[in-house]
Amino acid sequence: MKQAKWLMISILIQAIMICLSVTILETKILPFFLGSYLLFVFVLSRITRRKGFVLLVCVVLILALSFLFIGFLNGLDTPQQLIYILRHMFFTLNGVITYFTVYIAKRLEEDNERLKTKVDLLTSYVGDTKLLTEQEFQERMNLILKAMERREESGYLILFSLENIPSHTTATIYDTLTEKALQTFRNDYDLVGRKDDISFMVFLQNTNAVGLNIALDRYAENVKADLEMDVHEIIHEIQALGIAEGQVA
Amino acid sequence: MNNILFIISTLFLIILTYYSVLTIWGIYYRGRELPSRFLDKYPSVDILIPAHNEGKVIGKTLDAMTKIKYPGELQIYLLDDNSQDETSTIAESYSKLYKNMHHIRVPIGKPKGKSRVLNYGLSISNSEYFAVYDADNCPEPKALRLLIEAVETFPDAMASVGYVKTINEGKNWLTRMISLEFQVFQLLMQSGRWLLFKTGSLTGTNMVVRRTVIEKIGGYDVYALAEDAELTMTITRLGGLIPVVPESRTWEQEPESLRVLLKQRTRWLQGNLYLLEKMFSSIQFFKGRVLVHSLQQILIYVVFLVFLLISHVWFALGLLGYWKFSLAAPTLLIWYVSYIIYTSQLFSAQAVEKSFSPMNIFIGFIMYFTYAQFFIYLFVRSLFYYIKAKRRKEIIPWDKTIRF
Repeated sequence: MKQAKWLMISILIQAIMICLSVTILETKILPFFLGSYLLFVFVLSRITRRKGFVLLVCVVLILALSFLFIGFLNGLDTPQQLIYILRHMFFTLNGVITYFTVYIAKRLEEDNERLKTKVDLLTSYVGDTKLLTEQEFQERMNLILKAMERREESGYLILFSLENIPSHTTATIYDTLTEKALQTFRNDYDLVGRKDDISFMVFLQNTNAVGLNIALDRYAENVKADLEMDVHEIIHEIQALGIAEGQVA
Repeated sequence: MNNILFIISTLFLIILTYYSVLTIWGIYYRGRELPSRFLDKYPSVDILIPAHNEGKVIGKTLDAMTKIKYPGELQIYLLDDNSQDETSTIAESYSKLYKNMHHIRVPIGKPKGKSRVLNYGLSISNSEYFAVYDADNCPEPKALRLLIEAVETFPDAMASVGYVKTINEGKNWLTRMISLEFQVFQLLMQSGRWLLFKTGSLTGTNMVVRRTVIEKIGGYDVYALAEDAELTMTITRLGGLIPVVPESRTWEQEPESLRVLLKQRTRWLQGNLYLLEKMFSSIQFFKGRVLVHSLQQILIYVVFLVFLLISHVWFALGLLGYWKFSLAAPTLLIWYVSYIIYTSQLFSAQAVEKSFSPMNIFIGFIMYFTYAQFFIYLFVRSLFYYIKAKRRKEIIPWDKTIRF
C-alpha cells in the first residue's frame, strides 16, 4: 500500500485513539495522556527515525517498569494490576501509532525533496529558460563532438565566469548574459548551458578561430547594448575541440 | 515462603531491567554509521570449514567461498570428517579447480566433534588468522574483510565475530522463530553487551581468531560441545577483546523441524553446562571482563531458569487449586512486564534488521507462549542427559545437525 494511504490510516486510528482516551481514561490521567502525547509528537518530529525508535522503546519499557514499581510499592491486587496493564497497552498502542504517523509523514517529505532534486538534475533545461542543464549540455556536446571528429571539423568550448562580479548582482547579470547568449549564438546548432551559479558554457561547433572571434564580438555587442560590461573580461577559458584541439584560440 | 518468593520476584525484576538496558543499547549500537577501517596491508587468513556428511549444503557453501572478496592471502580448507555422502566428491571438484581451495580428509579419531576437526585444520595450516565457517554457511563477499579490519584496528582485539542470518527463515513458523531468536541474541548479547561492556561472544561461525591465541591455549578443548562459548571465555580471560561486527554477515540454514532443533539445542545446552561446571571450578572465571560472561551464563542457566521453573510449578499448582496464598508482590504485573520486555526485544530486533512483516509481527506476539517455553523442556532434558553421562563417566557424543 502507498505511504500516503498508510499515513491516512494511521491518522484515522490516532483520531479514534484520542476520542477513546477522552471517553475511557479517568479524568486525573487524561491531562497526563494528552500532554505526553503532544510532547511525544513534538520530540519525534525533531529527531531522526533511529533515535525516535530508541525513544519509543525506552518509553514503553520505562512505563512498564514504573507500573511494576508502583505495583510493588502500593501492593496492588489483581484487578488493580489489570487496570495498569490495560493502561500500559493503551499507551503503547498509541505510542506505536504516533511513531508510525510521524515517520511516514517525514518519509513522504524526504521522498518529495529527493525526487525534486533528481528531477531538477535530469531536466534538460534550467527552469523556464532554454539554458541547458550541465548534464544535458555535456551529453549533447559529446554527441556533436563524435560527429565533428568524423567530419574532421573544429569547434570551441568557452567558459564564462562571474567570479569577479559583486555577489549581490551576480544572479541578475547571470540571467541577462545567458539570455543574450541564447539569442546570439546559433540556435539549435551551438549550445549554451549552465555550469554552476556563477559560470556558464558555450559550445560552438564547426567553426574556426576566425568564426570564434566573430561570434564573440557579436555577443559582446549584444551585451553592450544593455550592460556596461565587456564579455571578453569574463571569459575564463577557451578550449579548442575537434581537429582544432590543442591549438591556441 | 513469602519472603523467599518476594526475593525471587525482586531478582526477576533486576534481570528484566538488565535486559531492557541491553535492548536499548543494542538498538543504539546497530543504528550507528559504520566507520571506515581499510588497512594498508591485509594479513593472511585460513578459512576452516568442518564438514561431516554435508552433501546437501556444501556446494552452495563452497560457491559462496569463491566469491569472498579479501585483499590479502586467503586459503580455504574443507575439513572432511569421514563423510559418507557426496561431500568428498563435491569438495574434491572445487579443490581441483580453485587454487586456494583444499579438500582435507581428517583422520578418524575421538572424541568426535567440531573441536577435534578444527584442531586438525589448525595443525595443517599456518596463516596469521584463521576463520571458521560452518558447512551450511554462505558468507557475504565482504564478511571476512570486515572481520579482519575490526580485529586489526581495535586495540587488544584477539578475535572478532559477525552476524548470522537465517537463509530458510520463511520455511515455517519454527524457522521464523529461530531467526527472530538469533536476531534478538545478536542485538542484545552481541551489540548491547559490546557497547556496554566491550564483551563479544564467538558464535562458532563467521568469526576470526588470531592464530597466536589458539596456539597459546593449546588448541580447542576437544570435550567442549560449545567450543565457541569455551573459546570466548578463554580469550576474555587472556584480556583479549572480541569486537562485534554486525555488518559482516553469513547466511546459514536452521532446523526446520522440532526434532532436529531438539538435538541441536540439547548439544548447545550441554556445552553450556560443561562451561558452567568449568566456571564453578575456578575463581579465574569471576575476575575482570570474564565476569560479564560468567554472570551471563549464571543468570540465564541458573537464576533465570530456576525462577522460571518455580513460576511454572507455582502457576500450575495454583491453577489446580493445590497452592493458595497471597504474596506481597504484583505477580500479574511481573508476568506482563516480562512479556513486554521479551516482545519489545523481538520487535526491536526486527526494526534493526528491517525484517518487519505481518507474519513476523504475529510470530513476535506468540513467541513468548510457544518457542520461549520450549527452552525449559530443553534445559531439563539436557541437564538430565548431562548428569547421566557424568555419572557413567561417558563422553557426551557430538550430535550433528541434520540438513535440509
